[in-house]
Amino acid sequence: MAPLFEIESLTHRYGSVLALDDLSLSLKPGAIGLVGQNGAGKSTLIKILLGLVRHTAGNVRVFGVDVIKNGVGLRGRIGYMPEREGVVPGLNGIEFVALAGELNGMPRKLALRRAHELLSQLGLEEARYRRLENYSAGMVQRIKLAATMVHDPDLLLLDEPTSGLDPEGRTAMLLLLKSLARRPGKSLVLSTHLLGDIEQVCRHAIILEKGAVAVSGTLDELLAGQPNAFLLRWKTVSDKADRDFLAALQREGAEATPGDEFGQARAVVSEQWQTQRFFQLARECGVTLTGLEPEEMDLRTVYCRLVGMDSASPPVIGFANRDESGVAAS
Amino acid sequence: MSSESTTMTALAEVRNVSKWFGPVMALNGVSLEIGSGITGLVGPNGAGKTTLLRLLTGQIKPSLGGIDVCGRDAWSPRAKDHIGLCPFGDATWDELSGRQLVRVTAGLRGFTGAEARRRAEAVLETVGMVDRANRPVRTYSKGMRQRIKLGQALIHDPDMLVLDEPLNGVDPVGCEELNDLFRTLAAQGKAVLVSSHILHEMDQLADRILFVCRGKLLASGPLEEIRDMLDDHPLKVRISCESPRWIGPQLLTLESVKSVSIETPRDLLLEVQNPSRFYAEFCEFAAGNDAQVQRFKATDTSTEAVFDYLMERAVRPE
Amino acid sequence: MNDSSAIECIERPRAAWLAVWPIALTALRLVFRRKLFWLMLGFALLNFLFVFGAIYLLATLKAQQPEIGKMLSVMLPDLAGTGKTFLNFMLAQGTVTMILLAFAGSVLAGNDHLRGGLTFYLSRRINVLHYTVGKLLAIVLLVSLTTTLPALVLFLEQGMLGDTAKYFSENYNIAIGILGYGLLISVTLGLLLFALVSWMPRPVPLVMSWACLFFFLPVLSEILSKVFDDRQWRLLNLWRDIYAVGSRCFGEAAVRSRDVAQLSEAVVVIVVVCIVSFIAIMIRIRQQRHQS
Repeated sequence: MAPLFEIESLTHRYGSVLALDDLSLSLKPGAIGLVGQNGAGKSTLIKILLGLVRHTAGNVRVFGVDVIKNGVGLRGRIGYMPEREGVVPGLNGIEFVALAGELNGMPRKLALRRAHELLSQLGLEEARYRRLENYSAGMVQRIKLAATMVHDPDLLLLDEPTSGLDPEGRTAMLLLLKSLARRPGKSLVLSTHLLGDIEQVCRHAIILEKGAVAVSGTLDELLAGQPNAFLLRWKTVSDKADRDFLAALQREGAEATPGDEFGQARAVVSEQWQTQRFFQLARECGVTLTGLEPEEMDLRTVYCRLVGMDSASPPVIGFANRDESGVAAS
Repeated sequence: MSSESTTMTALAEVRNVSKWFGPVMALNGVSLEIGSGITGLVGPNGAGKTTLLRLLTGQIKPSLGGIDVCGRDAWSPRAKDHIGLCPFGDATWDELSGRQLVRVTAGLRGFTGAEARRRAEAVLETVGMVDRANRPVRTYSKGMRQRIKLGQALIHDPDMLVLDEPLNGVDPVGCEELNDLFRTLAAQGKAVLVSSHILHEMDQLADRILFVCRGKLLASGPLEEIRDMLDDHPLKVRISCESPRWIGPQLLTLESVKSVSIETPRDLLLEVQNPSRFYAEFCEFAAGNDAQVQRFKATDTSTEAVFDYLMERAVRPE
Repeated sequence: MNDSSAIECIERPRAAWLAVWPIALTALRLVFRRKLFWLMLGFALLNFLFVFGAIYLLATLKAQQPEIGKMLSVMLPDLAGTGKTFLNFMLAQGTVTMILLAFAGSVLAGNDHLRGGLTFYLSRRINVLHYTVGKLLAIVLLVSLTTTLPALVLFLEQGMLGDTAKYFSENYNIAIGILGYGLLISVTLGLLLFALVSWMPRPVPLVMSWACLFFFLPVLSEILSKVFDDRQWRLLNLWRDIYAVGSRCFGEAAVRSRDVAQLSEAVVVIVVVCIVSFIAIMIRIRQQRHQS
């Protein structure tokens, strides 16, 4: 499969700021999450990929095409949804999306038709002729998404797409992004601080730190917990019962560490361990288990550990935030 | 629907409050209490959250009903001494430095001279901005701005802290640090009210949650208790094991299990009544049988799931 | 979402330059959505209608009562149908246009800088040049609508009301003059406005700086030229410079003798203003790309 990005030794300076420092990355098409502190270089990287900003040094190719040599053509295959603003106030919904289409090389009639289609699909049919300044926050995000998708780009670059949305809006947007991510031959880059969103939508994640790639890997790789490690949850009856249970686990050869809150623990066991034993020990100590799970990290823990949070803090036992359908993300 | 332990001391009390703006009813007969600890405020846009926050902080008056903060009417200046607001957005004088902003706020609160300076430094220490407070706010990241706003809200050491989307746009590390800060403040006996759209944050953070929709209070209390009260939504539990087709029928014999369905060749999805009874029965079963259970977890006890159920209920015609 | 015609258009997208027209059209649409501009257009129209009526009246009189017609022609040389007529008409319209532009500036392009519209445009299949040309085209069209177009209509009216063939064959240079002067006004003012808008997108500062350039500066230039007794100071009055060069377009007869000497300097001033504006625009847009 032809690579999506090929970035070699990308360095970018503006003024006295070194935004990107010898960054190298090569990725296949797919759904990719982009994470990093403010100032780690995320927005700079996105602007360089779009060809909006000319980088100081290095080679950047998207779809095999150099971004400097053919920025304009490349932008016809990319859709960018900025975090803030990015709308033209005074226009109504249809005009805005049709304009976006025309600017991307679509003839007017086609752009209008696509605009109507997309607005229906995104639930903005009733507000089509309303001016953009009268749109609610959720509607603005959706119309921006429509403008990003109107020309059917091969790559979607989305910057905080769920920003400002209420829970219903977020759920709807994430469902939409998931379905967009699964289209064959199309890619999606999701840049956000909400790591749970990346876990739900993306297959691959890149963590930027101080202008370089700190980590790049599939979510399966990144979030794989230690094998034979389990997370346990139970209802706390008394301190003594809790302590007894942990001690019992230790005696049996399971390394048990208590979690942040009462009623949680992480146990690392041997290959031959039967999970039945957890229940038996719990019964013996008068404790009722309410949850058992093989350890899966969540992206936030991975990220925080990486970016150097207090390593002395106990393991954060958050049951994984992955796609709750339970069906393995194929 | 409300589930409150009787031992909580109410720092804020909302008594049958209704508020309308012209013909639009923002809040409709809402009664609730907020005590120490972290309380989450959750609801769709237009539910009345912002109105509730403005009523609590005494920015507007209720059309009907009354609000007390620490025993005083929320509108009175005395009440405002007990409550601090960390509002949404970045509207501030961003050419000032963080330190200057905090000092100005101290002045606005009536502190002068050495007292103002002392409080400003103390608060900067609490929010972890002491070494970064001399740069203009314009150069701050979102996380840093939030901390300064928090500092401004804490300058007068209020008993209650109201936060409107405090983690909006903050990077993950900043989120963790701010959450720790909220927990610390709650542990000191303060009431911390967090209004947020990011529901999975509430799972770990909030002791109690207030769900509002269309101006009404749908539910309040600790999440597990609200979940337990949703009788029409039996708890869903997922069990992953080696041979679900063998385990499944056996689980049906447990009284608390309403239904069992085979989701995948390795997963069972159970619908369960009376969760506590179920856990006891299941643990007994698993201890006595080598079921090779790899995973056993309730799937719809998160804030997000409970929110969906409550919204469904709210929208259903009675 | 997989529309075959959409896929078709991706494989053969239009040339980027064709995007210039939608940009211009959108900007104009935004201007015309504001009621304030209809008011100003109304004023511009009033002047036009007045002159239109006067020409018609004069022509009718000439045909039916030649003596009165001749007398009036002598009394009102400005409406004679010579190049001067149109030149002065456009000058008057130009004044209204200037005011219109001051307020239209922020709607045409200022909002892009304020509300992230610039990112919207530049992240599409165009580059900075296409965007700039699109916006300039919008301004040129707007100016043409209030100056060039009405002048052309009057020119046609004048010709058709008299001896058509003779009039047009003798006075075709008036048409050239109208177009030339119109183009000169639109391009110069367009570049200048766009440059100012890029650096000062909010309406109030924009109006103030525009007023400075076109009301304050001319007054200053008169004062300075009197004080220093040096006609060079008059070059500060950009509007006058444009008039001087524009009048040249109408042929020798229209040029006021005392302006001849300063013609070349006026040209230089205009060209310099245009180049500086263009550079300012490019710098500002490149700067903006780094933000947001």
